[in-house]
Amino acid sequence: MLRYVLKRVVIALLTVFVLATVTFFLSKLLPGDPFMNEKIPVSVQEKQRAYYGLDKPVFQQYFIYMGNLLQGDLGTSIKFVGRSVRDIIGEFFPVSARLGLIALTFAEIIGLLFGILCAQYRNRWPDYVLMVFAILGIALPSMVVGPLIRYLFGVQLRWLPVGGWGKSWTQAIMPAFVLGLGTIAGNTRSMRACMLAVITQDYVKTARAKGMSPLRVVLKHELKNSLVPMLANLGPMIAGVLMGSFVVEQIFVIPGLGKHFVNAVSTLDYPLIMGLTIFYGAFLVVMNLLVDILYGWVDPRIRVK
Amino acid sequence: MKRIVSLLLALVLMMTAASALAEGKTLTWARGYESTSLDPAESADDESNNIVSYLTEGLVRVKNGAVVPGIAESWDANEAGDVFTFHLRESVWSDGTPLNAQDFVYSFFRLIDPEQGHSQSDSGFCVKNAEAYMAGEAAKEDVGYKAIDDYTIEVTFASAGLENLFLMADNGLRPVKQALVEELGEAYGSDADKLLGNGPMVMDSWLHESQMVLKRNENYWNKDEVQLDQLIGMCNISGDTAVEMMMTDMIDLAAFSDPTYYQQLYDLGFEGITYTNTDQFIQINGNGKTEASGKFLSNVNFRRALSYAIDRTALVNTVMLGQTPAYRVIDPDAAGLNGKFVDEYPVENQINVTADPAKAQEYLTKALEELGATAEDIPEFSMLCFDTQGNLTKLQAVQDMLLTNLGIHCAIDPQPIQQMIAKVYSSDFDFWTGGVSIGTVDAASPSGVYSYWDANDPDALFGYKNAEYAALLDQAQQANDYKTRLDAIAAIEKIFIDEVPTLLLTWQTQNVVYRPGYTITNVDSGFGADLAFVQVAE
Repeated sequence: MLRYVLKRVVIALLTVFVLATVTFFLSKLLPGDPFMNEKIPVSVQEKQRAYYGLDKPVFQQYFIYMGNLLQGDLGTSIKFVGRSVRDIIGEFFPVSARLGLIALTFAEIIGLLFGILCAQYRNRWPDYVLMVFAILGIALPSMVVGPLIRYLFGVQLRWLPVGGWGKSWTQAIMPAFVLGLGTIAGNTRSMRACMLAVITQDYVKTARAKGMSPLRVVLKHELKNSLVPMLANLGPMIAGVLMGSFVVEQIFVIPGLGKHFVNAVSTLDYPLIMGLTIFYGAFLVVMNLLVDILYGWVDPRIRVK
Repeated sequence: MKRIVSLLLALVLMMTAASALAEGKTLTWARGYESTSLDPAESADDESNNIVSYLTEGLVRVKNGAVVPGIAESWDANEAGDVFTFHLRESVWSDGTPLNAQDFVYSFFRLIDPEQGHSQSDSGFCVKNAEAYMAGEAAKEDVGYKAIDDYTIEVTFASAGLENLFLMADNGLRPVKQALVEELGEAYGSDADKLLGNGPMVMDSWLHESQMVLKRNENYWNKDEVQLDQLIGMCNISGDTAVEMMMTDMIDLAAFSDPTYYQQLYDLGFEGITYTNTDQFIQINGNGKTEASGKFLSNVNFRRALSYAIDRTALVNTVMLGQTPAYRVIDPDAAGLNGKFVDEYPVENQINVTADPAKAQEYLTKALEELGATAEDIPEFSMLCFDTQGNLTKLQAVQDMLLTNLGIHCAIDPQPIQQMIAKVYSSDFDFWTGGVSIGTVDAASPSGVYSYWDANDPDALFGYKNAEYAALLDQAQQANDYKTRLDAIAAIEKIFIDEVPTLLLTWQTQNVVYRPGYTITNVDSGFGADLAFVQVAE
């Protein structure tokens, strides 16, 4: 087991290194200049470039960046003057992560429940209704669902606050629902497929033949074994949801990390682009690593392979 | 039972009243995006500039188009109008420590420090030798910004002119406290506890990308003019979100340019003010993206043909909602000598507000004759824009008008913001759409509309050269009396309308909508409503 874990850790570190290198050079290929501005004198623009080390050859910039990265220094944002990338991530990631965790918990529970129901009532009306819901959840983008429910529950019914964050737990309900909607839908479909594969297994038939109650069969045999393949998706899903969403944060006025992924690129804030990508990549790798380890623990056959 | 219910109700009412009293007079407003820096030397965008102007006070302040005393309670000028002596009042920073002339001198030289390269350093270039000092071509002693004593500052400007006094109100020239700046370095202005002001408000808390709470500065020299106890700015709110937050009492004030948003709030009983804030253009690159396109775009009759092909009224009715078709450069709100500029300086040859295909064809024929070209020689032009839905629909409409009325083909080139700017700087466009601020004072301000076509500016972007235009702009900027300045502005406008250096489309108006009970006392075309001095009904 230890060897398996060590091997995975080495692969994870290598992945982050390759990601940082590729992102660094790709960001340099972006056209434009973050300091170009008609209101700023050219001599000042040159000083700003020099301050961020952008006047040096690209390879020299790369080695300086990687050296700093090894010391945990992600640099200073170009757009947010005087703020380090580490501070920016440290300030906004917890907001996105908290919202993401709520959304994920809700989506996992509902998604699994719906998937179980679909499988148990295969080709009957609960299956059809829930699958229609699942398809809608995937097909309807958050930019459509978000404003609609915001108008309905926020403006018309006045049940929930239209937006904002940090004042009341009710502010998290609508964004968590919208953020989790796609995951619910995906989980419903996956869970249904996994469970249908398990239902026909001999040990399930045996359990039924022995007179075990349907609920116990579901909980003790079907659910447990259906969850193993579901684990595989969990790593990227956690990383994706916890990193924030540009659209959901915009609609519900949430100070999360999501919008920085988009804005950093459009403003050519190189240190922020790099910092966010490395952080996301590292987080994704760690989540996958944890899932891999968990997977190996749950299913020893994988470890052996 | 009834008695218990009554008691409970009374308790609830008392608690509500107590809570309202504790909060005091509060205004919660929608901010479009987050401030990038509140260091006066680095504050570059509107949402940063607004906050800096609430937190700090310069020597003077601009209020409703006039210069009013700030920390300087009075000033004298020499006869030539290029040396001003500012007499400072006794005042303190928001932490109660004294503020004097040395603080202003330190802040000024920090702004133009060649080693630091602050983005707003050009705010100081109106001062004699400031630009040369920054370029390493002048000594510190030669820069025209000096403290005569603790409460007197003498400023020698690079040239005479009314403009100078307005420029002294610029955010870049607001004071920063030396000890704090030296302690914090580049982090100054990046957080609530990393700045210190001397203005009407003081920063209480700043949750980035979310909420900023400003409180009345009890140490402000003019605190009696500040009625609000608290200003709360909620970030990243615009459009639909702002409307719905206004409707659900989450915010009290928001600014809109699109009637789709503000009209529904007016219908619900909200109040508001309207002002013109930018001129909307499709800029013409006189040099052209290519030699072939430059040949046509540098021809005045060709540019006139383009202008006549555009239906400005149709644009306003379809894709530029809430704006006004521009029939001249100076907008109807601009001040004249005694009344409105547009009344005092009428123009005969107005810009067409509807398309005139016959005239467009007439000028095109003239242009082709002058150039010895045929219609087939006209290349496809490139229309550069920042990639937003609004810009795309606007350019699509103009693209269609040019094709329908002149048979001219254009290709739209949408780009992210920095890439767009890079293309503009490298002259990689034929047309470029965007808004231009009306200017600190008026169109002739260094930050104003006319400066974009200043032939004396080596960094001018649009390849328009007209010596008379440049001379008149100098005359306006250096005039010591207002009439001379306005006469020059009117003369430039005539050239502008006649020679079409750019395609002026509309005047964009901004609507600041607020809950009844507030009164906005100061509006600036650049920064919008000045919220620090909002009046509140008792």
